[in-house]
This record gives sequence, C-alpha cells and structure tokens, in this order.
Amino acid sequence: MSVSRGAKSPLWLVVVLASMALGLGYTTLQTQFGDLSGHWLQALVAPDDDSIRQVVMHFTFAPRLIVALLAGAALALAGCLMQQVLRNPLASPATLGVTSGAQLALVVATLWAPGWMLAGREWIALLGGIGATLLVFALSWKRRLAPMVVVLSGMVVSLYFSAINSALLLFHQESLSGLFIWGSGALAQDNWHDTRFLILRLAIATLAALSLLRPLALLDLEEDGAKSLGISLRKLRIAALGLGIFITACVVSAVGLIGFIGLAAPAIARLSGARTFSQRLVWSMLLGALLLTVTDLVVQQLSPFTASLLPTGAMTAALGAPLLLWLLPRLKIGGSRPTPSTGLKLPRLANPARRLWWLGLTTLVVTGLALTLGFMLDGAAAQAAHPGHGAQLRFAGLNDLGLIVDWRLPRVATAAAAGLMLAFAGTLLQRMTGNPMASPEVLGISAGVAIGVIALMLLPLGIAPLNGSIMGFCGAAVALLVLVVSNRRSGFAPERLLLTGIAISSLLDAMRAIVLASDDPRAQQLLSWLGGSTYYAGLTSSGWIMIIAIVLALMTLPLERWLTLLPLGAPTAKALGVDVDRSRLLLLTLVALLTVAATLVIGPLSFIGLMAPHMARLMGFHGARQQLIGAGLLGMLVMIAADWLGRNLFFPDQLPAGLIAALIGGVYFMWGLRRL
Amino acid sequence: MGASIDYHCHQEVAILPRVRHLFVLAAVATLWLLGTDTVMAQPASTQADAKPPRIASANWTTTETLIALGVTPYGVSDIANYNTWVKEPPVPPSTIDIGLRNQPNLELLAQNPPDLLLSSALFSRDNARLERLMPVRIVDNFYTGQPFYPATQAMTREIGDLTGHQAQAERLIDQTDQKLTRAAQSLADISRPVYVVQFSDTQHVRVFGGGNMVGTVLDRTHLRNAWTGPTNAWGYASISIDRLAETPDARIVVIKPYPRQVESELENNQVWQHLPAVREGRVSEIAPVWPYGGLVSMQRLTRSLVEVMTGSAGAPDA
Repeated sequence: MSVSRGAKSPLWLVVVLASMALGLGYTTLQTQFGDLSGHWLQALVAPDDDSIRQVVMHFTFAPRLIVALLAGAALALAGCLMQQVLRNPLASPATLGVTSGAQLALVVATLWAPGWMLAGREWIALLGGIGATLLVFALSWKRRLAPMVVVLSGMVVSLYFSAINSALLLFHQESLSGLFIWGSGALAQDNWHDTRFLILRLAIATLAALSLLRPLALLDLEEDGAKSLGISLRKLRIAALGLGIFITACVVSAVGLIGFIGLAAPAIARLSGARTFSQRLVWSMLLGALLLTVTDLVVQQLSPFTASLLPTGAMTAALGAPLLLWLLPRLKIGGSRPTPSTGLKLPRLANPARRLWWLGLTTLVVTGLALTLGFMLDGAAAQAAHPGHGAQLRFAGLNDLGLIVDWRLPRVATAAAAGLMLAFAGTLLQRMTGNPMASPEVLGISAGVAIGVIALMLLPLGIAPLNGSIMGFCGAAVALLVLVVSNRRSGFAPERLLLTGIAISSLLDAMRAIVLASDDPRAQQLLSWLGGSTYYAGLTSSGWIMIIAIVLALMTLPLERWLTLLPLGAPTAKALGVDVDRSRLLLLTLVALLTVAATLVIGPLSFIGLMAPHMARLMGFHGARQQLIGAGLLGMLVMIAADWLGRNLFFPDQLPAGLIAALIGGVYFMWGLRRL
Repeated sequence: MGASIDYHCHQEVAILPRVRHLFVLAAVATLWLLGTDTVMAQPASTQADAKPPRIASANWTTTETLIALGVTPYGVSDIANYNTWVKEPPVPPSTIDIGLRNQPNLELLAQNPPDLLLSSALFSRDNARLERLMPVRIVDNFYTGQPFYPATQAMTREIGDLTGHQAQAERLIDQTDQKLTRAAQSLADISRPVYVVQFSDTQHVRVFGGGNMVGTVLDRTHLRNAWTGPTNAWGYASISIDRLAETPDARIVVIKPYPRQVESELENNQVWQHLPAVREGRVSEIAPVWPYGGLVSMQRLTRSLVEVMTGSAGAPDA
C-alpha cells in the first residue's frame, strides 16, 4: 500500500463533519429551543425546575448530544479493534454477532424474565453480547481464531439470533413494540444516567486500547511476521476482541443498535488516508463520533414533521451507506488476492455421484411427506377433543387431494424453487469470489429487491402483486447497477464486491428498522414477508417460479469450467484462458437473476444461499458441478422441511419458511463449522 | 407417482451425469404438471347444508362486533392475543382459532370452509385466492373514506345484515350513541384538554389524534384533545414524551398495560417527572382497551374516561 499523492489525512473530512455538527446543532437549538434563547446556558447547567422547557433542554437535548458523540466514538473504537485483530475490513460489532446477541438477550428477558430487567438492561445486553461472542469463539477455536473463520462464525451466529428475534417478534408484536424502537437505535434521553454510564466505560476502554496499541500495530505485518516477534496472537486477539465487545455491549444497552458506525468509521478513516493503526484508531473515533452526531441532529431536524419516529441508528445506516459506496472505488485493499480456504481438510468422497442420488431420493421422500402429512379436521368428535382449532396431525387420504394440490403443493413447490435458486446463487458467489462469506444477501441484491418492495408498501400505489415484482426488479436493477458501477474499474475484485453488497444491505436494514420503529400495524406483514413466507404462493405463481428456477439452473450448469478455475485466483484463471472480467460479469448477472426470482416469492432470506453450498462441501462435493447439484438439492430439502415446520409447528399460526430454514440450517451449519 | 418413476430411472440408468440430472429435472417438472392437471379436474369446494351461516373473522374489530351482536363465529384469528388486547366480549368456547390475523390458515379453512370470511382492508392482500375457498367480505371502519364514527356504525350495520342480526346491530348502535350522549353530559363541565396515550417505551408514547376511536370519543363527549399534531393513517403519532409538555395544562390519560419495565423506569425519567401534568397529579390510568376497535371497545373507553375524569379529581398517579 503506497500513498498515492501528497500527505492525505482524514482531517479535512473531520473538519467538514465538525462544522456540519456545529451548524446543525445551532439550528436545532434555534428551532426547538428558540423560546429559551438567552437562557441556553442556564438551561444546560442549572435548569429552572418550574420551566418545563428548560427541564426538557437540560434532560434531553444536552445529554442526547453528548451520548451521540460518545456512542459514535465507542462503536468506532470497537470496530477499529475488531478490524485490526481480524485483519478484515468487514469485521464490526454487527458482523460478529455481538449486537444481535445483546438484542436477543433483551427480548428473551422482556418476555420471560421481566424481573431480570430490573437489575438493569445493560447487564442483560452485556450477557447476550458475551454469550454470542463465546459461541463465535467456540465455533472458531479449533482454527485458532483465524480471522476469516471468526467473521464467518460471527455472521452465522448473528443471522441465527436475528432469526430467533424475528420469530419472537412475529408472535409478540404488541408486547415488544418498545423494543422495536430501541432496536433501531433511538437516541432520545430523559436523564444524565446514560451519559455518565458511557463516559466512564469509554474512558476505561480507550485506556485499555492504548495499552494494546503497540502489539496491535504489529498485526499490520503478516501473521508469521508478528508471530516471529514473539507475540501471543491468541491472547492478543482475545484481549482486543473482548475489549471491543465490552464497549459495544455498553453502547447497545444504553442507546440500542447502531451497527453501521462500527463498520463505516474505521473504513472511512482508512480510505481517507489514516495509515498506521494508531492513526486509524484516533481518526476512526473522531469520525464515528461526528458521523453519529450529525445524523442525530439531522434526525432531530426532521422529527417535528413526521407522525412516526425516525430512529437515529437506522438513519445512520441510511446516510452512511451512500457515503461508503462513494468511498469504495477509492479503496486500496491489496489487490484481488483470492482468500482460498487454506488448511480446510474436508472429506473427499470415493463416489460423490452415488451420494448425490441418495440426496435426490431423500429430497423426493421429504417432498412427499411435506405434501401428505398435516393437520386435518376430524369431525365434531375430534373437535371436542382438540379445543382451539379442532384438527390433528395425520396423513391425508385420497379424498384430500384437492387440499394437497390447492393449498400445499404451491407452497412446497415455491419453497423448493426458492431453495434451489438461492443455493445456486450462493454456490456461484462463493466459488467466484473464493470467499466463504459470500451469499446473495451479502451482495445486496436481495436487499435491493426488498427495498423496492418496502417502498411499494409505504407508498400508496395499491397492493397488486404485479407492482411488487416491478418494484422488486427496479430495486434489484439499481442494486446491480451500483455493484457494477462501483466495481467495474477494479475488475470485480472479491473484497470490494462484498463491501459494496454490505453497504446496500445495510440500507435495507435501515429501512426495515425505520418501518418497524414507525409503529405501523403493517410492520407485522413486512416482518412476515422478510422472514420468507410461502403463504401467498398460488398454483400459477409456483408453476412459473419452478420453470424459472429450472431454466436458470440449466443455464448455470454449463459454466462449470469458470467455476472451477475462478477460485484459483484471477492470475491463474487468466493464465488458463478465462476472460476474468467477462466471466465475472456474466456470473454476477446470473446470480442477480436467481436472487431476484427467489426473493420476490420468498423474501430476502439469505441463510440458504450461505448454507447450502457449505453443506454440500462439508458432505464432500468438491467439483463445481457436484457442488452446484448438491447445494441445489440441499437447498430444496431444507426449504421444504422448513416450510412444513413453519406450517405445522404452531398450527394454526404459521411461521415463515425462511425463518425456520435459518433456525434449522443454523444448527447444522454451526456444527459443521466446529468440525472445520 | 412421480417418485416411483424417478426411482426406476435411477436404478436402470447409470449413465452420463448430464443425462442424469436432466432426469431429475424432468421428474420434478412431471410432478408439477401432474399437480396442475388435478387442479383442473378438481371441482370447487362444496357447501350443502343451510343452517345458520358459519362466519369466520380475520380482524379483531369484526370479531368483537360479531360476538357483541350475539353471533358465535365459526373461527376467529389469534384468540390468545385477542384475550390480552381486546378482552371483551369474550370469544365463545366453541369458536376455533384460525391463525394469525394477517394470514388466516388456509389449510384449516379449506377443510371445512365457512360461509363467509370477514377480513380487513389491512390484512387481506390476496382476496382473489381466498375467494376460491369461501366468499370474502372486507368489513372495516378504517380506509372507508368516511369519518370514523359513521364508518364504525356502518360496519356494525353491515355485519348485522350479513349475519341476519340487524336488530341487534341497531340496538348496539343506539346504545353506544346514548352512552356517548350521557357521557357528554357528565363531562360537560370539563374544559381541560386531554392527551390519551399508550406507552411504547420509557421515552415514547403513541398519542391519539382524530380519525380513530379515541378521537371520536373525545369529539362526541366534547372533550378537547390536547394533541393537534400530525397523525398516521390510524390516527396516532409516536412521539417522545417531552412533547406532552406542549399543552402544559392538559390531563394525561394512559391506556394500560404498560410495556413490562416501563412503569418502574418512569420514576427515573426526569422529563416525565417534570411534566406539568405529572407534577400536579393530572395523570390517570385506564384499563386495557383496543383503541382500533368497534362500538364495544368504544363504550368501554367512554366508561373508563368518564370514571377517571369525574371520579376523584386527583386520580392515581403513574
């Protein structure tokens, strides 16, 4: 990495942000507390108890400003530490599962152990964050906490926890609506408690980070180099990661989920010229503090005009994502070095074809079961015996063919088609980028589709399904365009592509959080679609989606040569006669088509796309063609099973198939990870 | 059928991999086509006997109204949460649960389709599909283009017409009207504006404006709503609590239940503690009531409001 021209430094950016913060802060004071002008200082320091306006300013405006600065700096510190330790620009509190662990702990405590909440929600969040991290550590321990494995485990744990979260929220929306607001990072304050809480913890964490500064800086060297300098990498990583988690949990418990700062601030600092670790640390913290504060002030400017809450954490992502996208083409990561899965010892099969056939047979049997087994009404006698819904679980008879064909087959077929397409998309992505973390959602295509559909839900355009597909396509097209435009110059280098995708996905997260926090009754519907429900599948639509899935799959299979050669890295592939840029662009288009089709019918669930190719590899399918077919079958199998469970587990209530897929798939996947 | 075909193929054909997965695809396609054929052959679901109509209801507001008119519905949505949030009138024991509000369980409904499904404009995005099982009627008091009160009266009448309970519907409408008039008389002396809120968390409340049940009750009883800011399609706004100081002399009525830990956390909330209404003991709590409900919920809300406004002047503090 060489500095291109002159002494670039994030200073200019910090100055710009700081002046924005000052300007906006003054405007906010003028608009919200203009009536107090002249008494601002008095209100801040010693408010008059009888003037509610002064009290409000003293207990809301001032602590909110300081908390925004503190939380931003703290998250940037956490992200910076994590990225340094894992040497991965994608590491952040959110991608390591810390934030979803904290949230899950709070949701569970709210529902089943409200007494614990009295002990302080911060401690429960901390426990959840630590629990998630320990799980991540346990999963990656055998690989000596290798960076890629840690981040992979973190993302899996994170996905798993948010799936459980979503399931709980689906059933308890009314009781958990407050957690929606918290979950999206509303910074509103009503006393100085959070400020004192954060200032103390941030000071301790910063001091601890400074004491680790020198050894951490040495991690900039290659791993072997650092080892030869006598550093215990494992201890160092645990200490630094632990510190990052601690400070994240403090922020999360005080003000809620503000994920993007931890990812963006260190990345922006690096991109705008901070080179050494200590420079990155200092500039990241400044940038993080200012980014969050500016966002929060903008939110405060907007809030008087809307009937719903604008959560700052989510808005940070909405504003931060375009910023990251703008900076990405200016990013200098060391070339398009492939990150092959070094040291992975996976079973090689003597006869993979036979295993594929068994897999196919299992899929057929499961399909048959999913179609025939279900809850059936058994007349008045049984109705009395089963109060509630009057049905019991049994196989359908021939008389029930209409029921099976009309109401079960479309859902099973849709689930299977979506599973197949997502599995193919995931396999393509993982082979193409040589990155085990790649999946359709990471690429941001399914997020693009979802953004389009959410936009439709919020705009009063009518609710015809046709409009949904059009808007979804527009969203996907825009996402694809962004991907191509910001990556073409770098020849679609893997890391850059993934980072672009994450930036797009974070926009979806922001929109989802804003909708959920807006306290809109339609949130339930949105949540269920985002979870991946086959509820709305009909025979015609499921027939079409089947045809699309088969056509796209047939188009993919002949590309096995590219899929075999691309994971070897761009130079090798080029030397073997592959037009790398063209093949990547074509594969990317195919991935996009697969993802759009799957997302439109079953929501932006990502776990199948991430999991199926992995499961296929763990089962020993290594060749490109075998992995594709194996992953496709596994994708169908898991989705069909998930759909059946979703339909019957809590009959007559139904859970979305995508959610269940994430729940069952996650367990298998974690178990597989441990074996790696 | 399809399964056995495919199984035999696999036994005989140990050929090139390319041909093999084409077989798998062909089998899948056959399965699906078989499926479509059977659909075509399938007659529409039959319904024979002409006993009292069996009605299912997907929305709590129609459920509440149906039961209030004396109808025992065949099935209603999400009984467990209905019992928490709507409470009254209670669901008859013979009524079955048909699943979540926005996704009535079609497998269950298909096995013994009711004569009519009452649905809300909010929950039914695929009526064409549901219509294949049973007639579906969107009965709603929101999205009607009418003001809320006449819309709710019209909804009640419509449910009465659909179930043959016209007399009961008229009685419920008259009764509600009388109760509102009587409430207006007993509240005639009260000029103090009132915020009606539900807590979301310690710092945020849903405050109700016009265009919904709360606004209607305030309107009909000539109480002044202290919230005049913007509201969403259901007539409420989510705001941070300091905005409850914008009308300093207002009373605050809190619809229970509090989200779990909020009640205890309010003690540390300095803004809440400094609100004029809190300092001067003008905060009242009322029993849980479904604020998006029908005439029964409206009567219950009216009764609660009259109780806290006319009962003891300094009602129990939060």
